[in-house]
Amino acid sequence: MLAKIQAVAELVQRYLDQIRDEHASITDGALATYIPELAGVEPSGFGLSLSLSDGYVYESGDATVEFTIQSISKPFTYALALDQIGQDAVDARIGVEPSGEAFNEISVDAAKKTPKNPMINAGAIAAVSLVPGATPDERFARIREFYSAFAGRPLDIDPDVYASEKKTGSRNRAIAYMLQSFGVLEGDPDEVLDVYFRQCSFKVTSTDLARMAATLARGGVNPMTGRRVTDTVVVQRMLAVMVTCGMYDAAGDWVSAVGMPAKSGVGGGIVAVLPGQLGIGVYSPLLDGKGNSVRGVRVCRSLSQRLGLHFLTVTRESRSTIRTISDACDRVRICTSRRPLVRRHRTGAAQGR
Amino acid sequence: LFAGTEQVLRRVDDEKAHFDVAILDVTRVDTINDAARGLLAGMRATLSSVGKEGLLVDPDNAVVHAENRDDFHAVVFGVLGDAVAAAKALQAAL
Repeated sequence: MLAKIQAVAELVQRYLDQIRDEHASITDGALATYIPELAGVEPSGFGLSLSLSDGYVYESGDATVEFTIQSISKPFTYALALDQIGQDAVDARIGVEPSGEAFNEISVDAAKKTPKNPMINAGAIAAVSLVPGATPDERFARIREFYSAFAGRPLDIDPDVYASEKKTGSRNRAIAYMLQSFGVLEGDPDEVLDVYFRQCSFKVTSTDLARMAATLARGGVNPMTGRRVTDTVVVQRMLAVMVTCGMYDAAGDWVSAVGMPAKSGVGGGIVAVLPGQLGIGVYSPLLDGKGNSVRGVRVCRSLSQRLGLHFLTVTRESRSTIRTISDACDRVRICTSRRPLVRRHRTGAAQGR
Repeated sequence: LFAGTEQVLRRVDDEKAHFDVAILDVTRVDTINDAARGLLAGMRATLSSVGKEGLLVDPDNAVVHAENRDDFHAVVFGVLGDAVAAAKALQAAL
């Protein structure tokens, strides 16, 4: 028997706990195995965090467990490049079309020879090269500062994951050198890759992801710190690319069933954004064949269905903006509009406050 | 919707020491979904369990569907004035 609820907001907490619990027994999927650090994480880890647009966070399960951000870094570095050098300069090097290919495919757009989008490794590596910085350390410092501003706390890397990523990154080296040969990559490919491996190794929690998502939901302002991290134009582009390319080659499934801009990583994280409303962070390291967290996807589906979060839900049809039209007197017409507003009144003891 | 309702719930928590009866006026609410309806229903039940009362001003049956309206005639009102009158009566009885 559940304990009696004392606070009304516990209803929301209970809702989230319930949704998480429904998927807790799922053990499908497998840990990422390409580096020993990922293969060795606790497979049962399962955390869910939800940040409202005023920065209030609900947590359920392992919401304080740190894991590596991996590909969830991609939209953020893309945003930093857009923020620093502008859309035109970025668009000249990285496209915005879904590739329908695996994330680590060695491919570029056939005609333009540029990466098809910033969510595949080729585009993400190109995005790193577009972040200004005289040295790799300077470039990385800028990235770290940017991510930390989204999360509202200083983020650090996992040095072991970074070392392993660097040691085993032959595929990414192939991609970087290919980009250099096409004239897409600025600078030394190995230096760019070093920064890329570091950015993938940032340690985050599901709550960090929820806060980063809430910053996007608020159009670039971190609701916890009040700081503007980037502008609304950058956020809009970033969310657009997350919608079309964020979930590897499962983007169609995701948009149909969940309907939120999102990005997953092989560390087991998923970040999802409902613009104007909230941010979600989920962690569960068992991955499906496409590299997305099995329980993470399931939880996001449930959240979307049960809380009504799909961004293409058409709800406004039945109650139109113009509510009534009437004539006060000859040639004086009153149009009454409605606004999405909730008013609440108190009586009794409250009045004497 | 969910995010807006969550804010109402949290506000009620913050202020619940200062009222006996809370009236939620949804007259000007445009859009609502079942998640929000469920949370608002839960809010009323929770307030009842701590000895408080929640009343609703809902002239367009946004929260409580018209066919269920009769079941809630004591707590759902068409205009704010009626709800305030009911709140005062409830308070006197507490």
